[in-house]
Amino acid sequence: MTIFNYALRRGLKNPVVIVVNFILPAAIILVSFSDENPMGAERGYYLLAMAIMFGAYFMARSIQQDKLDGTVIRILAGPVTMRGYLVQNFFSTMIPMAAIIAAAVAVGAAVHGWGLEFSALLAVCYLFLAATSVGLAFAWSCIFKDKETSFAVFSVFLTTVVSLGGLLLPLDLLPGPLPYISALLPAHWAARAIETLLQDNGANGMYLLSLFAMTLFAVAFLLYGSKRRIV
Amino acid sequence: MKNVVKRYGDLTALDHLDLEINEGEILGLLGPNGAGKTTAIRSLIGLIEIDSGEISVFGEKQGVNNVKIKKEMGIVTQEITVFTELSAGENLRYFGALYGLRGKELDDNVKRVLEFIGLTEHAKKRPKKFSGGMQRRLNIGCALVHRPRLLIMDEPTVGIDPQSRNHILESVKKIAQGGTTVIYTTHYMEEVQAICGRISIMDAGRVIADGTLDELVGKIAHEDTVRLTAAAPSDALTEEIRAISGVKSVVANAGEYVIISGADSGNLNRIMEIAMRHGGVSNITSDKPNLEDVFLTLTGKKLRDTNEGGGES
Ligand SMILES: Nc1ncnc2c1ncn2[C@@H]1O[C@H](COP(=O)(O)OP(=O)(O)OP(=O)(O)O)[C@@H](O)[C@H]1O
Ligand SMILES: [Mg+2]
Repeated sequence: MTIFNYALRRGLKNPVVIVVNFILPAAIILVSFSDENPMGAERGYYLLAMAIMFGAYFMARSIQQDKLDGTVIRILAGPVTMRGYLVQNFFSTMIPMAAIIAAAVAVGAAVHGWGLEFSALLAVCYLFLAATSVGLAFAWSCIFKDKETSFAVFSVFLTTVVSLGGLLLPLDLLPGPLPYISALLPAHWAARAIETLLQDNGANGMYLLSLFAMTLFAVAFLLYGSKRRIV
Repeated sequence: MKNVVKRYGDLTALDHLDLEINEGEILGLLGPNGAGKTTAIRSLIGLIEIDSGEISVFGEKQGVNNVKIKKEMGIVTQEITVFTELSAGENLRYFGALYGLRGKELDDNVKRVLEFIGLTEHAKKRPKKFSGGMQRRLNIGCALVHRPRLLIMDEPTVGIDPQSRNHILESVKKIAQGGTTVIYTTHYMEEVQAICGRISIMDAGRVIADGTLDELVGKIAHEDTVRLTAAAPSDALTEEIRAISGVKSVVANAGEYVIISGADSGNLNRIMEIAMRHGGVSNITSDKPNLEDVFLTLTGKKLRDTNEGGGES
């Protein structure tokens, strides 16, 4: 539990995490669901998903920091398995993310009058998206060894995800084959799930397929993160 | 460790390495850069997987998931690996807790280690504010909170002042007196000579010699070491000296020659003669070999690439 406790503390102490996970969602809920939003009131659901996606990613930076400090060497040389290390880090992000998502959706439901079932399904979709983000953070720390490259490539990647994933702009607006390419991004499936939720107001095949796709991403990223040597 | 092989791609970092450590001793592991010391240590402590061979610790097979054995070992890493966002005391607490210490037991051990490494006064400060020596001491302390049965130290004194180094060497002796087995890795002969009961010399991924200091030096006792400063060093000079019969090795470094030659072979005169023809000699000494020379004879290399700390300009 030592790893979990400290990763949790470190995650919550990060100022970026505070902004992206607390202030940004609050702002989105209060501002972007209005009819005056040029992208339409419904864009708010997608923007919230985007905030959660990045929030989870930044909160899961503990592994990267362990690598920078070199402490990962000490931890894995200690009585800790790679799996134990990843599991504790995973939950150190997912537990607070679950609380944040629950709170955000509860506030949204209170302010905008969302139904109970709709709110629950929305929260589940957000939670799955958060899990893919945590997986991505782990995999990312295995691919890029030094901080600068990691950050540079991440900025490019971020732009791609934001513009292709269907969270910032609707998927229909993407020209040519881009919507298909965008299916390779977890964000795409979150956008799909939200889209279908808004149309049907309940869980349908497309919603479940989207959750399944996000699970696949999360598992693939996590497996990659645990198989790669990180020391 | 028996017959251990570890490869990184094409590079064989450990090449059928055999290494044995007896309970209660301080084993010195000596070798030049890239010899595979760190890799050997990482394999031993179960941090990395090996490609073949066998590692057993306390009579049990070691592996990356053997949590039971890993709990009884401690590692002092070559680089400083502490949490930069935590204070010295919190770092010690973290690693104590990682090895399962709780409550009063954890408090007491953190306090004990803080005293031992002389950082009690600085327990609340973050390592960034520490001097190099203090950081090194904290780096060592983090491996001591759980009282390991086997402590592995990977160059714990790199880049620190002589006073801190002596403090650390004394500490290592104390740790060993407390019943802990220690593996001590270094480039520094003096350190090994000061504290280690037995020495293993590594080069190119294998152990090329081991024994006590006397045994190792005894191996080449029938040889002399000639140190010579040439006024005009050249490759031709090196080659000519090397060609003398009875000369085992010649290492040249910016005009300084270290020559190992059979004792009483009369080679000192021959070396002088050749050097005089090549522009003269500004200094020459001949003496009985030390550990450094053992290393030189066995590998044809110097332990350290450059003369660290020397007054060369
Ligand atoms: N993670 C790695 N990936 C690839 N090669 C590596 C890795 N770690 C070590 N090596 C290589 O393995 C060889 C042995 O390295 P190792 O770090 O074990 O040597 P060392 O004896 O500890 O050297 P030093 O005295 O410089 O610390 C070196 O050639 C090194 O470049
Ligand atoms: Mg090393």
